[in-house]
Amino acid sequence: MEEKSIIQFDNVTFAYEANVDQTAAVPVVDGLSLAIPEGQFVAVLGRNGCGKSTLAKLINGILVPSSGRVTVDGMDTSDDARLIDIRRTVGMVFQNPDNQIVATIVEDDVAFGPENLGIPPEQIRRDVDEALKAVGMYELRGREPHRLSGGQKQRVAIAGIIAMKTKCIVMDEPTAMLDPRGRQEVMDTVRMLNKELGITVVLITHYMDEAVKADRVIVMNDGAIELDGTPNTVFSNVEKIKSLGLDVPQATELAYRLRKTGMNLSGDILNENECAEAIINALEAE
Amino acid sequence: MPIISAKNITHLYNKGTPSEAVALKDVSIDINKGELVGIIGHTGSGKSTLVQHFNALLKPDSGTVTVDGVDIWSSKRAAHDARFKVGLCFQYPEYQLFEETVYKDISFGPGNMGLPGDEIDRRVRRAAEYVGLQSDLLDKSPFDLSGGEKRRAAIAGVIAMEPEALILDEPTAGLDPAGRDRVLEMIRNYRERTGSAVLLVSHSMEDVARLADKVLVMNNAGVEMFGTVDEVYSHAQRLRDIGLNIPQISKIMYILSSKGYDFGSAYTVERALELITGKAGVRE
Amino acid sequence: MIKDITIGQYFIGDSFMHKLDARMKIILTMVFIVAIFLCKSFPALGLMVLFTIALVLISGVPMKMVLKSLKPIAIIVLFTSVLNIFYVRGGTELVSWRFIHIGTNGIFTALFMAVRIICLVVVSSLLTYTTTPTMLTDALEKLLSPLKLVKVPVATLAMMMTLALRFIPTLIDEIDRITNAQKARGADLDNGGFIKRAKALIPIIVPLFVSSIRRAYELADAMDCRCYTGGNGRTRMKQMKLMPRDFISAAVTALFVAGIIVLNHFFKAVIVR
Repeated sequence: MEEKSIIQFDNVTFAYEANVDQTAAVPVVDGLSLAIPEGQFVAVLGRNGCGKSTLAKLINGILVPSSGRVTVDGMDTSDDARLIDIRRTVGMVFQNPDNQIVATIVEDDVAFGPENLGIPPEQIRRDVDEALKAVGMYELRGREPHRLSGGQKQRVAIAGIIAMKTKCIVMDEPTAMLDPRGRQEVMDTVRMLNKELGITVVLITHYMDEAVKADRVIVMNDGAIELDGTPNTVFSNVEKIKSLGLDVPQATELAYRLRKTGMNLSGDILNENECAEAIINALEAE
Repeated sequence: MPIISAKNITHLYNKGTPSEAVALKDVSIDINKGELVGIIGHTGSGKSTLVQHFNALLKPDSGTVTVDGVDIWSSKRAAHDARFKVGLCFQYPEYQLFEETVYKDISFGPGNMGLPGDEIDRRVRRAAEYVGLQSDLLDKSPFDLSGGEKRRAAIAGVIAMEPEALILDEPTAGLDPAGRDRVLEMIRNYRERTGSAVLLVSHSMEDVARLADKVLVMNNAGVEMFGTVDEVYSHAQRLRDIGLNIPQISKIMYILSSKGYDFGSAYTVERALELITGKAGVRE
Repeated sequence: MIKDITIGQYFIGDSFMHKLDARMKIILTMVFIVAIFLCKSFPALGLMVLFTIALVLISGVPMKMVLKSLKPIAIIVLFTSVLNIFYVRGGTELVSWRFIHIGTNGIFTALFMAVRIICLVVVSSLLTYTTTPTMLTDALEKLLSPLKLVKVPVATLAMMMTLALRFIPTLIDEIDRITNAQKARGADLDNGGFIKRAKALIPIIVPLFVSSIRRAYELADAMDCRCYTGGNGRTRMKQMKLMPRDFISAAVTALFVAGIIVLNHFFKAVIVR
């Protein structure tokens, strides 16, 4: 491989320890191998219970594999001595914005990570201000988190990771509890992270319209990778994706079904503009 | 005859304090028996506040709410009855589960109504059936269920009161597409079988388009639009202006018509397919 | 809405007292409390009352709010005063009827106690009116840091306090939500006797516990991910720095204490304690 991969899974299996009443533990992640190159924006899709949240927790060592190996920037996540370094490399944003904010003031929360790392105060101040400006929350730095909207809280959580200067950020359904406006805010921030700051992003989501914006889409099912490729190649498998209990974007589905009726639509169709354009071209060609 | 009727209701938050804010401003609306009404609007538009007036959880500062012809604030009894005639199921209802077993949890509502034991039993089993919970799950602890099952058990807890109108606030929030489809299908079945009115509060205009007969659009503490799905969704531009995410299909049809291919408006893939393949479009 | 509440009783302002270092404010408040109990003569008591009034004026907190903080202790003040009047004997006897004896000592002690308690409450509420809970927590952590030498986990305790402050509004919000959800299922929380009402709380308390435990797990993961390993090796973004105004305040307070001692020395003590 030419590109350097920042996250690497080698034949990873993970099973939660069996409960007393269960005869055997069912693996949640089953023989999974995966390499994510630096700077990539990856979306991970899958229905609830497919193992995608477990995947996220395996990346930064909240969970360690039952067998196989996960490495982050060359560091093995099962090596406790490297745990702090791993978490300085991969930050994590969770689903519920309320349960990851630890301070009573926005800027104090953003400072929490750098403070834990023992960074000198003046530099924390600079990093925190920079991170807050990057996510557009600088003006609200003195607010109490519980008075913010869901989208704002998630942006504070993201700023907390940016301030730690991680190379990679893993997000476990960061928009699931937000309204459409909050989702938009968070997705704009995620794109900025990746495009402007060059941070590797692993976005776990249910929303197909978020996944189409990624460089790469991975679809998981029963603890294994079912589809892996660009949004175009993945979403062209309309039947397959539906059979896995997922959606495809409406534009893609419409194009797929129009093609089935014999309409000649050209190009990749993931959003409304591409779809409308292809329909117009096809109609004009007739 | 309307099952729920609100007349000129106004509601203020933090009345008499410096942070006083208008949550609802002179809202009048009639919900007819058996109707499935989608309620959309962005956060803070007043939609959640409005539905809490329908079952007497909130009292309007002015105006009246009648349920089944009775002014719900005319007596203590009437307010009490409104709780059961209008079943309200909040967002993330699984967080209200508390009993030892699913069965006991679903029977909490009917129990509070003071019904006899055999009637409660009938209602619990019927509600569980509506939401598709197998009877062997009824003896389990609600905390041992999967996420989707918990959601459905909690909805059953409201359905078991057998309300004449059922209000569901974001019933699909946080579910994956399969779980969402299952809940929406369940709502459709419930409405067909009971003929009860259903109010579906949602951020998803796709979900509303799939189920609802009528759509109520809330904006700035007031009613922005109220009409059939076709009527409301044809105002695509206005809906976008007030911060709503119109379905991708509507956007496609909108772009097509602005480019001179007017097929009419559609909000589901099926309808768009029909319109386009039917070549109903007219070139200028 | 219920979530608009402010934790503690911080009064947003920009006065001299708001700007003082929280550590200095805590120490000076403690010094003041000691001074309160040094007052034994009328002139000393008078000085203390004047000083307290001056502090209220400097703080910029409206008199109405200060008086409000006295409301809960009105009964205690009244009760101790009455007790003192009847129990402290001596001085010139004013009333003597059967077993009731009231003397000047009793009256003076009652008066002193009432004024002392009032001043104590006013000054300590000025501390909380002019200092945010976050600043108070940070200051306490700094002030108590010597205890680390005897293995008291000061940083961890301070972190716990911060988390408690952070989650109180979230939990209040949650209680509100659960209560509404159960009311919508016909839960009757407002009627019935004590037992019935206590039982009616179960549908609220159980979900609250369940969700709090879930929150705690998620929060622990989130803190782990942000490299929290306890207090060791942590730095703080906001450094506390003593400014000239802090030293001026210290000097003025010292003068005040000296004044009390001097006045006590030259004038007759009217109470024993």
